[in-house]
Amino acid sequence: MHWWQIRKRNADLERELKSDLDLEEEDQRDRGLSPEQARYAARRAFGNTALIREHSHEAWGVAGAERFWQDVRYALRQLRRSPRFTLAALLTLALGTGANTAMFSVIHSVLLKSWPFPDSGRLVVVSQRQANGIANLFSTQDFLDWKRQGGLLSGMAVHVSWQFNLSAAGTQPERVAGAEISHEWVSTLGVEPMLGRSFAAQEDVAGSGNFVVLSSALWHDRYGADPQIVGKPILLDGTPHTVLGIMPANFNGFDGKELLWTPLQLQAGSGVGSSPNIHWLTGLIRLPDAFPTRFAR
Amino acid sequence: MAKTPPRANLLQGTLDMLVLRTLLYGPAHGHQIGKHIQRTTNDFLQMQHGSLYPALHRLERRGWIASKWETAPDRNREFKYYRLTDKGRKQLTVEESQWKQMAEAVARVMWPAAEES
Repeated sequence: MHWWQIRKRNADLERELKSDLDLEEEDQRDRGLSPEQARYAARRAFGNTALIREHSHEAWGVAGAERFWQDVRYALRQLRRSPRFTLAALLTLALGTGANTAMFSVIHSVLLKSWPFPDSGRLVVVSQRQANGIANLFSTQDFLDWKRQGGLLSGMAVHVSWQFNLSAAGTQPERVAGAEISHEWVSTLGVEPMLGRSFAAQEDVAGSGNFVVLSSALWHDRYGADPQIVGKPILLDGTPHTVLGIMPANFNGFDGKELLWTPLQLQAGSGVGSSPNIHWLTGLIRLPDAFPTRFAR
Repeated sequence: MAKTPPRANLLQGTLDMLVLRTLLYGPAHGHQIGKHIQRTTNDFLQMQHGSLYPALHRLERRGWIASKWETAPDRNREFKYYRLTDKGRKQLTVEESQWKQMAEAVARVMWPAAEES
């Protein structure tokens, strides 16, 4: 019940009590009592008006809140009377809450934390919509077409998760997770390499050579954070790739697991994944400042 | 509720039933209901207003009676008149049969038939 309704109902009750009290007074006067005595007699016959109000309020269920707190206090008293049970219950609750908190913090850092990229609110992952309405990744041809067409998507970057074989003379080959990216990818994300540079447009062209950008983690683990590595080749899938730059610490690409990046060097009609049926590229654009995010959907 | 022994203590449910029965005659306001019960029982049941008004509001909340402020026919004043609803009428027959069953059961314990003793 809202408070104004409660007030209205209380006022109604007062009115009712008063009118009936007056009637009672009249009855008493009819019996021959003086007006003074009649009023007293009426009050007495009427009974405790405060009690009437309280019982009426109870009938209206407003006393529910008071009863609730009474129950709470009773429960606490009962708990104090059986300490072992209380202890067991509290431990169970603590364990449950602890487990939940642990799970949440893991999920939070893995899934829920927003991307550690500047202004990540304006980053949009783009997918193609097929004729049947299902979103899909881009094929090489589609990506190149979009680039040619101009407009918002011409600035799109694409990437695809990849695995590489990292090897060197005298060491065990290591399988490393990374990604192949289009040259705009790093700048779209807004991250700068901390050493060297990322791929330029001409290095994203088939036949221009083999290049790689390393993550800070890999650089520390495998190359001892040697700054001289920039410009030198490393063996990737058996082929020397020139290291162009090192990305800053804690940057591990989209899924947080990428350790190195090579240019996609896409070419219509040839190369890996060039078939128009292979949809393998995930698009990424950064909305220009003037663009309201909701329209981008 | 009653502090003085001479007054009979009515159970809450019984009072509800009596109020419903009183309203069967027609609409009445709280004072009239109390006076009627008192008169009909020859002052045996003296209506404690402290139990009558909560009973009336309880019955109204359950939808068995409905209330309305109306001017009394022979006066210039308004009173809150209660009347029986259809639900209330049905409830009255239910409570009546329950009361009869209860009275019968009690009587059989108190005054068993000759062949059972």
